[in-house]
Amino acid sequence: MANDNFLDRLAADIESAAFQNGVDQKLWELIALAGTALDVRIAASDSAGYLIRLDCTDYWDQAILGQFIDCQTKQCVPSAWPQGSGIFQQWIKYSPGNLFICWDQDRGGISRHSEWAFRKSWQKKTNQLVSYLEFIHRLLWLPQYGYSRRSA
Amino acid sequence: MKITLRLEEDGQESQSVEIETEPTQILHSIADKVAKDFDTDVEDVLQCLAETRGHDSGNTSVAEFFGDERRLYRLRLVCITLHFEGESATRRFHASRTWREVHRWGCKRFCIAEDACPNLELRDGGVEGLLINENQKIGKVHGCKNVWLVAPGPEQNGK
Repeated sequence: MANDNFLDRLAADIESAAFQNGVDQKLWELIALAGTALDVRIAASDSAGYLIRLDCTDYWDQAILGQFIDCQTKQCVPSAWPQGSGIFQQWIKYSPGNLFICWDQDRGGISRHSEWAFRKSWQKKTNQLVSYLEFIHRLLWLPQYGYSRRSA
Repeated sequence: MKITLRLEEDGQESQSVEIETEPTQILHSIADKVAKDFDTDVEDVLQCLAETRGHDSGNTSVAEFFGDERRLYRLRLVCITLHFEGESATRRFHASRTWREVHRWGCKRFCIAEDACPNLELRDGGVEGLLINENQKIGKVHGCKNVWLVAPGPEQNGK
């Protein structure tokens, strides 16, 4: 029953106006949905996009786990991760063997900073999914976060 | 010669301006006057005129552009009210302008520091409103669209 609630909430957030706005604005695109796993293509300021897999297990009760994956193989490999300056690497950890998003609303980050779990920061906004995608969008667009634009 | 330019917003005519001009004057000088009256920019006016006559040079003379034909033209523009930290300003844009251009105009209008400007986001309808992709064209707008320039809050990381 509880599992149904998680799925219902996730489905509602995927169908929300805010998620659809991101699709309409070409900020992101839902590529695949399998159970609680979403593959989303997210646009970057250099016009190329990244594919991110969002594991939304126990959606809302738990934070989302985001991992960038290769467009073809759908594997989480270092080459699929965006890169940037030291500032960027405060959030995006892309060294081989240590790929995760170090943010208090990502399950990978929380597993390494247990003190974040009690805050439940991912519940600050009512639409957890859109909040997550807007954060990634911000990292890939706003210069202050230090994303390295790729050459064409 | 007398030329009448009418402003059309959201499919409706909202105001018009009559200009008495010499045939030898360049189009840019007319656009400059109309831009002030219609709260827009010279480039937006020239873009509108270019649409009607397929002519995009502001250096074209008035006589060459308007010829002996009708001298009544409609300028189709969209109205944007931009808000930033308690201030607001309204300007009309050509619908083919991108949101990035609205953002840049806002930074100038609100005297936002050059290094801070690109780190702001555009949101539709409020500070927590829908995110706007600034690479997209403004497109059709109903009424005067309210858009907010927002500085995103800090994000926690492990450093």
